[in-house]
Amino acid sequence: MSDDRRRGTGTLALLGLVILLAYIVPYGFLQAVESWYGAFLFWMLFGVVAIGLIFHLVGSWRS
Amino acid sequence: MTLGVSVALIAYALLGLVVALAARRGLGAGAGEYFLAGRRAGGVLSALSYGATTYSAFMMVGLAGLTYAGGVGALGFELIYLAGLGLVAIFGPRFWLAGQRFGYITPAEMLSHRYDHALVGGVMAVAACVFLIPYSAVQLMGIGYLLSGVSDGAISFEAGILVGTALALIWTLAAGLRSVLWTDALQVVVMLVTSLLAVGFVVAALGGPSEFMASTAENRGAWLAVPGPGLFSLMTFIGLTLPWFFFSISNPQVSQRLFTTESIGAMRVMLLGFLVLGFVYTLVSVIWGFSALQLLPELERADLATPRLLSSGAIPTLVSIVLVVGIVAAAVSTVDSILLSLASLAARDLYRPLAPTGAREMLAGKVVMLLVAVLAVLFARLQLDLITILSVASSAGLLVTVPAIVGAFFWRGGSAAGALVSMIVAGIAVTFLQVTGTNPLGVPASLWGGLLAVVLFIGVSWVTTAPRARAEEFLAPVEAGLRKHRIR
Repeated sequence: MSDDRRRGTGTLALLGLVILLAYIVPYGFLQAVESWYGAFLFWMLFGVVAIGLIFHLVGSWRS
Repeated sequence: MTLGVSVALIAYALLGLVVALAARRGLGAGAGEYFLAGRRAGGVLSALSYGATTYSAFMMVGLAGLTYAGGVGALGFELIYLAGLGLVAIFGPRFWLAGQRFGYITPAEMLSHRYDHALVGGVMAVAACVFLIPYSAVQLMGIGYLLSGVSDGAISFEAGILVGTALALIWTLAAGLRSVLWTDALQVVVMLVTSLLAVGFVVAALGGPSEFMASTAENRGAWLAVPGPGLFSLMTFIGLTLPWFFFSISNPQVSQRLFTTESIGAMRVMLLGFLVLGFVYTLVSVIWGFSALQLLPELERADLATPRLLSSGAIPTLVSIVLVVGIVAAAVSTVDSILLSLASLAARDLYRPLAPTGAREMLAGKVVMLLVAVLAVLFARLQLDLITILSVASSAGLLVTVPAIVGAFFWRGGSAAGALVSMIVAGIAVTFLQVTGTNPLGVPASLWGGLLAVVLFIGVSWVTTAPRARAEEFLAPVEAGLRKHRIR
């Protein structure tokens, strides 16, 4: 497996983990937090991180 | 307000018509030109059009309504969809490389070739037609609710859906994907700018961002957590997000765009541009829904949140009018892409195998386009409840095509029988569950449909013969291309 391919697999695995957390954290740990700094903030951060990982994933594509 | 909306809609229609007709210049002959804009779409234009196609009445009407009814879960739901665009990073270049090498016009055509059986694409085309008609209808309903809502019934629901249908048909028939791309670009700018303006005014009417946040937390705290006021139980959340997560590869009106960019670099611009646009639009729609919750706390239907908010006086009339046009634009830009995509599927994957000479293929596609438009209008008139739930039901149906799509690139053992059985049986099962409203063991229909499709695809492929030689022929240029373009 090339370095590029390995890095790509790692980024994808991380993206998968982040997506899983998008279910677990709001439903597991933030259920009782009735505030903007609970599920709302978490999902906003999740969105930014997920988009960042996708940016990273396609960053090395050569046209 | 009614007069203003009417004038603005006419101005928008005329502007769109000019753009659509301008797009006809330089239109070449053939299916590749008409359905894929000659595979020469640039990155920025593709990103704008991808955004316009994906985001529809669903956002400022449906997602806002979902926020109104269920709270912050709507944000999670939509951002999980956005994270699902990671699938475009995986499948986008693969679709593109296969399309370049084998000249596919539709994703269904690609599956027919990959699995060496014309019926595979035919079944996928039928599934797309069946499941995308309610989805198109949902867009038209969005226009109908909006126009009748803001005009207090002076513009009827039926008139609204007919206006939407007419615009979508004209812009699709003008120059195929070329006119769709250009009118989409115009429309996405209109929908984004107008929604930003409107949400700015409405938050200002609530005393500014700090006051808005404080009063929401104080009066509607339950809406800031899940399951919130009740709509977003974990199972419902999974049932809604799962089909949406796979939207980018299961819905042909967007997956077909993976054939259209002029280069891999343009595809990257398309993906990244769309992600940024999507994040902003999601946030705007959710905040819009929260604002409605404060300004209009006692609505009988959540889908009415936007029309009522627009006529509430919280927003200057002129801004309300342009936002109405923006939402109509969002809906029309989705319907026209669906019509075009279904036309191509009907022409390439249903008509062509039956008429191998290929004569009148384009005509067949256009006839189907008109037929689908009529069916969508009839479906929209039923006025079934909750736009978002209906949208997801359509995607739940299309979810059954995902195992065959994934298998095409990642499992040489996948067979035509596996693809066919998974799409047909799981498609029928998920339709039955959704129509009857059954959730066996409390698990949503979309999850059952997806699981059944995976099990059937793998199980049936195992006991039948896979077209291994075809798989090699199909995958060789894709794998070589991935290496060449340094795609991980």
